[in-house]
Amino acid sequence: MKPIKIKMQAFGAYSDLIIVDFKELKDNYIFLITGSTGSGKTTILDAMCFALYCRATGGLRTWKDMRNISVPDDVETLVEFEFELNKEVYIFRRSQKIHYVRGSNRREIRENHECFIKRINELEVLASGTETRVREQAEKILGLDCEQFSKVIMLPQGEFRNLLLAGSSEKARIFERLFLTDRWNRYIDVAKERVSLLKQEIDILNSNTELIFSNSNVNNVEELLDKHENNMTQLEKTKNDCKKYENEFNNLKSEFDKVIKVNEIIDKIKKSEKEKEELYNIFKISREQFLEAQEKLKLLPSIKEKEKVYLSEISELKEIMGNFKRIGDLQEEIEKVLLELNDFENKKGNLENSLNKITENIYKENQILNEYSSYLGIVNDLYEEVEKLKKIFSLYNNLSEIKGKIQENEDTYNSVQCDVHSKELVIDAIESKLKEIDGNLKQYYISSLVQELKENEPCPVCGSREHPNIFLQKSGNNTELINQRSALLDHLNEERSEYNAKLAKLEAYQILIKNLNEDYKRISLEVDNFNMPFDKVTCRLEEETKKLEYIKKGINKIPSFKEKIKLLEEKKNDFVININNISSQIHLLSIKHEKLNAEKKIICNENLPQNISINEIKEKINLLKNKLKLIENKQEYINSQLIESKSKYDIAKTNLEFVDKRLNSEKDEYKNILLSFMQGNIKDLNYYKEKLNELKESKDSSYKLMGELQQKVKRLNEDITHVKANVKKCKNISEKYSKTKRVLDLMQGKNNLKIPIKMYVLSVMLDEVLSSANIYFIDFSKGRYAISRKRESLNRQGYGGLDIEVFDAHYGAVRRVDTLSGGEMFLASLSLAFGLSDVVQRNSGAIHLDSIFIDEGFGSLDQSTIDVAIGAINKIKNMGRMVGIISHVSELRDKIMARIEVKETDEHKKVVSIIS
Amino acid sequence: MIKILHTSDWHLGKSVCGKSMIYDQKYFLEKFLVDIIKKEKPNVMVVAGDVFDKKFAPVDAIELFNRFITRMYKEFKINVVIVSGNHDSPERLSVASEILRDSGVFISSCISDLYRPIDVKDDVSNIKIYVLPYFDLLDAKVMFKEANIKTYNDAYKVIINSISDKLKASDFNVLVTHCFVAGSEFSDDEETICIGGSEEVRSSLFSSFDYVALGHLHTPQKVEDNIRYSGSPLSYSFNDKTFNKSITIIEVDKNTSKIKSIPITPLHNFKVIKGLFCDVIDKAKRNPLDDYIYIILEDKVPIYMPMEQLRVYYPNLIMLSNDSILDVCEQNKVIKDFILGKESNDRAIFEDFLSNICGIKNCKEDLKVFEELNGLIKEE
Repeated sequence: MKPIKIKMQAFGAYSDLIIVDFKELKDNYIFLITGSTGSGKTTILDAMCFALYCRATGGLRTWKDMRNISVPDDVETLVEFEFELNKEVYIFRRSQKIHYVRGSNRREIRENHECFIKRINELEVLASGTETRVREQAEKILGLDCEQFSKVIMLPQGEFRNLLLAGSSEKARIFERLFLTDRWNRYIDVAKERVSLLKQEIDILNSNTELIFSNSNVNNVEELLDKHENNMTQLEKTKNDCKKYENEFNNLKSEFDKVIKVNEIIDKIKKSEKEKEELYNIFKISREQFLEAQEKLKLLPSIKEKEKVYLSEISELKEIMGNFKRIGDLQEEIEKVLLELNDFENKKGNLENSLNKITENIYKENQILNEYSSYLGIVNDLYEEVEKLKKIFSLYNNLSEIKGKIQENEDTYNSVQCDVHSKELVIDAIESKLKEIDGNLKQYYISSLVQELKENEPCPVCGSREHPNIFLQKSGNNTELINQRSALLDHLNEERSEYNAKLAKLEAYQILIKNLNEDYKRISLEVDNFNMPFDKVTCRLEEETKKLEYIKKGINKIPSFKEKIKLLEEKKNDFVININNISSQIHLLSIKHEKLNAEKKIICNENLPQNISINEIKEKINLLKNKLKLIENKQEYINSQLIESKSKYDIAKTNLEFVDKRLNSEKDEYKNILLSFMQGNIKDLNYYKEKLNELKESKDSSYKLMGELQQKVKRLNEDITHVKANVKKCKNISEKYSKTKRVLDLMQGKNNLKIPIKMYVLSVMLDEVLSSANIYFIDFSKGRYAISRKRESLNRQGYGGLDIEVFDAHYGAVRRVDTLSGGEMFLASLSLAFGLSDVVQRNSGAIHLDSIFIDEGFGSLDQSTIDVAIGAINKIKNMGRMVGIISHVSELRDKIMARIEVKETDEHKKVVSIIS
Repeated sequence: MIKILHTSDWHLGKSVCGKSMIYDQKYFLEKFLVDIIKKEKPNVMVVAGDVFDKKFAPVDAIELFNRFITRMYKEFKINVVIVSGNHDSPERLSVASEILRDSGVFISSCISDLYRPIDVKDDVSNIKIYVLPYFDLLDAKVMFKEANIKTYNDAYKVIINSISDKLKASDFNVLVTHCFVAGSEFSDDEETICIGGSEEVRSSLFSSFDYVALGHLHTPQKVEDNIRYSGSPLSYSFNDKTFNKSITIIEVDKNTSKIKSIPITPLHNFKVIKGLFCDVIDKAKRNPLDDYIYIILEDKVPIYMPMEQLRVYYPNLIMLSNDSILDVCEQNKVIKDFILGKESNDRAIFEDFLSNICGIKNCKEDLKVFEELNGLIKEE
């Protein structure tokens, strides 16, 4: 595990947000955490432990203890630890905030616990929520719980010294917690429970067996078996008695049943005779009725003949009625045809009117079309004429435009010319002024020169020795003149440049006017060629343009007219077709009308009687029908009478025969039963009843006894089975019990060496730790000392064998640990710490926790021991471990370059700075 | 001709295995070195660091130093040039150094002293001695803020470059400094200059000097012909590559030099003796020594009071160890791989417990019972 960063706020000694960035230590494997007492050095280590486990180093202090009390309630307590382990970066964060509930103002504490793993661009949440969940995640990642972490990573030196000097029982307690050997206690507890359970089972089985014996009033299994045999014998005997009673009872019962049956038969016979008599009376009546019905059957033929006559009359009358109906139908049809004919005639007339109208429209449209078509011939000529007029018009416009321009430019030209003249005047004035000034200057220079001239000395200009104007006075101020001259020169130059510009402008206007005049002449000649004045051109152009517009519109309408004519033609054709269809329909209807009239005439002349109406015929038919119906009813009645009487006769006969037969069989039965009784005496019914009751009582009591015996035997059988099973089970459980007890005793230390298994494991663990520690201690002591475990017997509590002694090569013998000097003790406890750390890490699944922090311990050392200690730490650095040392010893400050310094500023604020 | 005597790493006040070396150091300074000085008559003595062993040196060490320096000034009138090393306290060492300069004792404790070279001249030679004591990297970074100094090599590069224009070819330029030059041999008693830092300085940086008098490593050696460690005058560790120590004399004549080593005869030698006790004691009886002895016993069994027995013949026996001390201690130790680790095998532990503690071997019934208990616990 390699720490990367720690953040703390309102935690321990730190009120403000403090960030300790271990990356600033760079490649320094050993660093010092230094500061004055109480500055907060150990708090840095507490922060690491707290972020992981929500407990400070040692697992004792919680939130309450770690919150900085000087900060206000609204400041959050925060601790965050970022570290690298096995190439993964983890962040553990915990915070606590005080919150006042709105309304009640109750003080609530809200905690936040979370841990993350750093991926490439994001943080992935591993656990969050309760402190336990995050703690469990820390234990999972690091493989150490809080206590182990405190002992293995944070090495509080005082504690290791104590561990070195502690007795076996104390060491056992510490190692148990570190190496999680509690499970051996669990084995012993489970074994004890198991032994106890097995013992209980044995006791339960034994008591069950005793209960069975007491319930059966026996003392052992043999007595139980004897009892069972006796009961079985008694049961057999009772069964035989029951059988005997049963037989007697059944025999008597059957006799009793027979007597009852005889009485029943006699009753039956009496009843059957009475029934027979009744049925015979019914039979006589039905026979008479049947004979009557047969007599009536002879009237049927005459009735049938009457029926025939009536039927023929009815059919004749129906035929006449049919003809009447036919005539009616024909008349209806004729009227229908006539209506249709009228309808078609009307339609035909309408269509013919429409057709005439369409023909007229077509003619009109054609006329307009012809007119518009004639325009096509003249439109091109008209178009050319208009173009020509437009051209002449534009030429006239150009002329007036050019003329305007010429006038404008001439005005401008004149004004520029005036400017030029005035400039010339100004220039002349300036030049004359300049001349004047030059004259004055000249005069000044001359006068100056004259001043210099001396009698009979040559002039510096001309060399003459004669100076006529030698007494000329100096005049003027040359500086002023020079200034005036230069100003005037500047002004002159300006004016000249302006003058030149205006001259150029004048020339340009001249050229422009000339060009415009030439254009004007040219266009005028062109217009004259056309020989048409402007107002005429304007008027003609307007007329011709209007004409052209009108013609164009007409021409544009030609296609629409053509389309319209086409549609009208089509419509006309449709009308013609419809008219033809209607005409043919009219023809067909006329033919039909003639046919119907002819048919009607034939029927009227040939098939109808003359003096009778259709209603009379109908009445006659109805009368005949009623008569016919009466005859039918009569026939039906006769037949049904015959059938009914016959069925009644048959039924009566059958019933009589049946009852007769039954009576005979009952009589036979009576005879048979009487015969069976003739062999023995028939006694009184009461006798049989009394006897039966006696037998029943005897039988019931026998059965009851048998049932009780059976229950007893069954119970005894079950008891025997249970007892046998209990004995077998008890034997098995006793075996298990003895085996488990033996193992328990061994594990508890009841063995040859009187060492419980837990102590054995701890002693092996301790040997490993000491072996690992000796790697360091032998080196630190330059081969003089090594620590080993003392072999001793156990104390009363079963602890022993964990005491440590030191082998001193100088004396060739072991010594007690407390006989070592202070410095040697320090080295021994340091070695033990490293050894323990190595072993715990190996036990944690070979997770490399390659950082270690040593909290104080150097303060009490003398100079030479400090040197040894520093040499020791150097060696540890060479083993690839990062070592952080908390110490205020100044020697260490000088020797260790990389430092984390905790200071307090003038404002009493804690500051952590990293020096590498 | 000018003679320079080069020595270093006196470590006055040091103890080895609890034995104070002050008497040996006193012998070296007040007897041996004085004799050499009388014989060789050097013009200047350079001490390249680690005068004392600790920042807070013991009183007798300070007194020894005081006497020696005073004698150098009063009796022999030779210049002494001293630079502080990583063991020295620069502030304490350089007390009154400005006043002492006038007396020919030049004690350098800060980087800026480099820019005040010491002149030693004669008619033909002109020697300039530049002094660069051991310094904290932070001091170099502060002094040369613009330079990107991360290691001692970077610091030396920048510092030497800062005076390179002052070095004249006509002078014999000597640099006295205390550092670890790459390619040198070192033993474990030479404490690393910075715990956890990088300290190597490349020898190529010193190419502009005619001689570099180095201190820090205790074995006398040359990095190059003109770059040398004089080594410590005494052995301070039984792990030294060699117990033969020397001082170095440089003779400069017309800016050419001739270098020689003079072996040191210490008051007591250091010796390591290895072997079985019986052999060692026989040897001791035959040839008792008063050297500082370290005995490594090879016996596999403990020897009763070996130190006392051997001290009769080796009164200065200061260290004794037993190579097999681990075996001696761990005779009864039981290492069981299957006990360790989270995936420890409880069944194997129990079986071993039965065998070793209860004296029961191959009892299947007991193991079966144990398996059942194990199953019950796992179900929980």
